Amino acid sequence: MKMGLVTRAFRNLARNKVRMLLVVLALSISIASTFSVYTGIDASNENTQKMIEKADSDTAAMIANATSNTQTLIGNASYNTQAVIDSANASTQGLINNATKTTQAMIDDVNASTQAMIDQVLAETNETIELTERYINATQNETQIQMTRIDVTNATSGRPPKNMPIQGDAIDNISAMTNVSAVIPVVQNNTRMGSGSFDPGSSTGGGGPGGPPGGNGTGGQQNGTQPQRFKTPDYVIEGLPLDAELNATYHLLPVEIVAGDSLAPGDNGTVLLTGDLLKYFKTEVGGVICLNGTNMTVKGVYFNPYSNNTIVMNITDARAILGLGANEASMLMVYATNTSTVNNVTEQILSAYTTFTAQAYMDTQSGTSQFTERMAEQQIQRLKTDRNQQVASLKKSQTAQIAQLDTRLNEQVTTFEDDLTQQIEKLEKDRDEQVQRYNETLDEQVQRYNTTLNDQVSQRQRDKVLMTTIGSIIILVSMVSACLIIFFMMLYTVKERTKEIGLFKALGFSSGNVVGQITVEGTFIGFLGGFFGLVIGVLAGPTISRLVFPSAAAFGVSVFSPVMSLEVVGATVLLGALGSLYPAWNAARMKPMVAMKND
Amino acid sequence: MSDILMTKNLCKVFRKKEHEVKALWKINLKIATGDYISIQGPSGSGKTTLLNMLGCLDVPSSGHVVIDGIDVSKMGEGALTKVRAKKVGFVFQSFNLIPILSAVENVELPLELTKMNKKERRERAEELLELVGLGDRLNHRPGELSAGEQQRVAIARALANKPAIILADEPTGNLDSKTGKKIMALLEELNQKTGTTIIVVTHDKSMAQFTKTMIFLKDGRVTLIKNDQAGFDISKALGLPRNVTNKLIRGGLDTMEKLLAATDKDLKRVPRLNRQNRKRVMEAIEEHRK
Repeated sequence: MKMGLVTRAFRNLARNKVRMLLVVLALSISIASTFSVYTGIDASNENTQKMIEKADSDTAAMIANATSNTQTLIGNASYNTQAVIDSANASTQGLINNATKTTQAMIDDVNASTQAMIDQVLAETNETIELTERYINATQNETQIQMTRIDVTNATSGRPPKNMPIQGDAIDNISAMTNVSAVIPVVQNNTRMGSGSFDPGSSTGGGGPGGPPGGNGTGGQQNGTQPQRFKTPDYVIEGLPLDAELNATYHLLPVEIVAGDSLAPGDNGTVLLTGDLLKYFKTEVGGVICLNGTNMTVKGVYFNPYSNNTIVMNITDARAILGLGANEASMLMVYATNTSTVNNVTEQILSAYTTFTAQAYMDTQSGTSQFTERMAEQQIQRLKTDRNQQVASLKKSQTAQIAQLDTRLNEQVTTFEDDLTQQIEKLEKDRDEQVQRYNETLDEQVQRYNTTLNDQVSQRQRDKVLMTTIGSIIILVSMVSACLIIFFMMLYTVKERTKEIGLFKALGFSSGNVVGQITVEGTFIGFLGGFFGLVIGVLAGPTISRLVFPSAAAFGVSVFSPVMSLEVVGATVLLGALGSLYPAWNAARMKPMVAMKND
Repeated sequence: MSDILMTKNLCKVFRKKEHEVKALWKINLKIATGDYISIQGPSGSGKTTLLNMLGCLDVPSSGHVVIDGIDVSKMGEGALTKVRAKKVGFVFQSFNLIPILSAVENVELPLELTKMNKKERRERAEELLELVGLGDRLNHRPGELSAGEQQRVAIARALANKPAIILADEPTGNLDSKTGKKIMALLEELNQKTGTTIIVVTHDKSMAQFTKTMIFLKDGRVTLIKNDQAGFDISKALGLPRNVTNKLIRGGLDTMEKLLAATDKDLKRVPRLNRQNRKRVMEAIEEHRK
């Protein structure tokens, strides 16, 4: 049945060959133009797509280039800034090193000077201690003799009590008394003198007794420049009889000579000084000091832990300086025969001379043989304490100085470091700003590129849309006309074959059969039109395309594509079916009675 | 004999501008299987309308048409189409052959509606063309055939599906009188051979002569039904086949002698023909002669 239908369709189409040819030709031209436009649009759009892709890749390359350049600039800026920072770091480190070095040198100086001072203190103190010890050793045997000593002075009433000079006869008398082994006159400036007596206190204008003699113009070359180092009295002048026998027995002169020589019998115009006095007078062994207008040569330097301000000299020199008479004395040192006769002697003297004062050395010193030793030990102890205190003070000062130096160094270092930090911060800030500027510039550039790209792409897209729209309209018109050609052709055919269709219905063919018959014929016409249209399109396509799309000519027209050809033929077949639907329905509607009508 | 076709109060009314035309009015017919019928009447008497009704090409305004026991008067288009395909064969005045198809293909056409395969269809079509005397014209296109031959092809086509009835609308209208008679004879022959009921619409009396039953229509009504069975049946009387009888009659009076001689021969071949019947044949010939 189907075969019959197809056969009939073929034969029906072959009925009017000229008409068929014309219809197929018209269809072919329509389809060919559709095909050409279609391929033209395709090629054009493809070309546009390529241009868009090229613009895309170009822009991407430009952006990459700009990015790379900016990256280099940022790298350079970073590198330069880093170099400056490194340099600043190095110079700051140098400054810090210098400051540290300087401070260290100063600390070393402080350490060294302190050490020197400590050394000096230690040396001095140790020397004193050593001397004291030697002194103690030297004076240990003397003590027994001193225990028999009675110091006799001519004390006066009044306040304060003052010693009057003891006359020479008194010395002789006392020497003649029983149980007296020796009477030794001593001249001292702390004794109230007679007329024209030595009074340093008055001579210095309120300086007190024993004050420096410089005030009354009797001072030597150091006059007026001597510091007020000593408490009252500044120094004591002690004149002793220079007798070898007495000295050997009673140890009148200082036992410990530190420098120079001790006084010898017959020495005149010479003195022994202590280390302190040497400093006081700023002189040395062999030097000259001026005492109450008399120049005295320093013969030696002695050491006595209990007395550091006594100037020892010949008694005659002392009488001359202090203005005493030839046999007068400030004090008498009376030695009893032994310790048990001391009281007897004292009583004798006091009974003979009522104005005199007799003071047993034994009594004043509590009679203990250990006194001197204890005193010496105390002195040593004191010296040690002083030394320790001095050393501690020096060390404290040293620590304080070092701490100060350290503090200053730290402050300096802090300042340097602060400066460095600020510098680095500024540099980094500058660098960051620069980097930001670079990045902003890059962003602007990229944005500009992208804007340009987008403009280009949208222009191309518009072109594409325009092209597609125009092409679509042309295709639509072609398709519609193809459809109409088939429509009218089939309508005419149905009209022409009215009776035949009526016969089919009368024979018992259903409406569906009739519709199938007409539709197959229309579809077949469509196929023929599509096929020949495709052939013409392929052969004449480029020319038509150039006529329709002058712009597309530049892109070149793809001539043949199996898929597209199938599409075109398929579309035409569908158009054939579509176009013959109404005529077929028209035919199906026909009453079978028309077959009965006679021509 | 059962009725292959029956109508009951069949009416067809056409309306033209508020003016009713009763094309058919209360037609009651009973057509027996195997009958060969002519419907006669003047133009506009409703012949073709009646034929349309009987052929399921149109539906009645009222009344019933029953074909082979099937009431088709209330059927839809689709069902009528199926009934037409199975029960009815058509022969048209203008043959209505498909010009692009050969004779055999034209005959095959209705066979497409059966379950036959191509080969069976082709065999059946050739057989039918053989039957109508066109065994040598199978592959000729209608344009290459004479009018009579074309109508024979059309008749073969009408027979193709072994229909219950064949409706022929003025089958001889486009033919000259001689060819028309041949066609009518062919129909008669086929009616006898195949037993198919044939209804011929014609306004030509000479053609209607070939039929067994004549129905006369006028103004949409049946005016007369003239059945040979009711009167003298020459064929039966002769005891001859109807076509032989018809041959005798067609021969005319001029060839009476020859005919009689021939008849004598024929009569010798038919032993049952008796003397009385012979006499009546002679009388009938005499009547024809008048």
